[in-house]
Amino acid sequence: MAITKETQIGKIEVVGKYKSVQVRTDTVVMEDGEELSRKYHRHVLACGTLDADNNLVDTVLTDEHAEVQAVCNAVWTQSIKDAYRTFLASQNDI
Amino acid sequence: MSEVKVNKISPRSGTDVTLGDSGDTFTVPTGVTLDTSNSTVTLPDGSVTNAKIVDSTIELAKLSATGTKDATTFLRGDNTFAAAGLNGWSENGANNDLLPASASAGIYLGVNSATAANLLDDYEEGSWTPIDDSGAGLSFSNTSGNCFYTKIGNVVCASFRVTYPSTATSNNAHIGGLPFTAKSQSVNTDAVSFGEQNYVAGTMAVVSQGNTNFLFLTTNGSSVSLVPNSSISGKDFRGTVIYKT
Repeated sequence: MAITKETQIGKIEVVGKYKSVQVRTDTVVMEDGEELSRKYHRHVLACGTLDADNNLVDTVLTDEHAEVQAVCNAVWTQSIKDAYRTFLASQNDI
Repeated sequence: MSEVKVNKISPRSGTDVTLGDSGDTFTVPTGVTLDTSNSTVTLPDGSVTNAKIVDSTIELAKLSATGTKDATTFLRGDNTFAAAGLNGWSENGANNDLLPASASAGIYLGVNSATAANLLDDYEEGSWTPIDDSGAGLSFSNTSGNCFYTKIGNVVCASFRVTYPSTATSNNAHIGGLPFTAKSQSVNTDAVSFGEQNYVAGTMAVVSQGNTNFLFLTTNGSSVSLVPNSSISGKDFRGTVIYKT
């Protein structure tokens, strides 16, 4: 009888015009290969953040799962980054 | 009553033997066995109008119907074995939960024709981690074990606790890491409700449309101002974010 716990990338969803990447990480507890429980944790990745000069700083992906990195790199084109930078700059307005 | 004892009745000519005439009744007494096991007896359609078959003698194998006969199917009125329940839905084994084969399947509520605005096709519970989205690179505390979400359709309800570190940074305070991207719209509308906070009374927060963070606001009664990180240095916030995706 072996109890194991592992994390899996449950979902990778690309949403919105700025191609936010929504990642669901599943923590799965199994006994002899049979799933006992599954818990979700979510985070969302945008293509960047603004610095003090309103330049877009690319999001660092090194800690992300390889599948997540691949999706981000595929959808975050320069035109998406440019549009997102403009959007973020306008966000300072309440 | 006259009695004829014979071992075999055969036609004198041809292949037909006629018993009696129209209106005659032939009685088979109780206990008599008609043994047809070595032959096939064909009863013309409509010829049996009153028969009693012994209980538990009709087997499923005797039924002629299309489709697959097994533990998951039933016999429909059109003589077809079909899957039990709704097409594409199962009962999740012994749990009896309604489970669709397609993860994108849902239920239309309040309509009798498929209307996208009435389709409930998403539900999820989980946890999330608030992060500093102000650009100052702050690390929050007290987030672990306190931040959960439930998504029902396009509405997200995310609870949180965030304690700001000591900071003198002037960046406008943004708490990011929301579990889903907020809906894009003209202005920010979706609110944060604080259950408890130790900054100034009347502190507000609003979700950034099209983004995954919310920003802190205060008002003097006529104008609204963003709150810099330095103002909420060391402050503790607990509450719930409700927003649309």
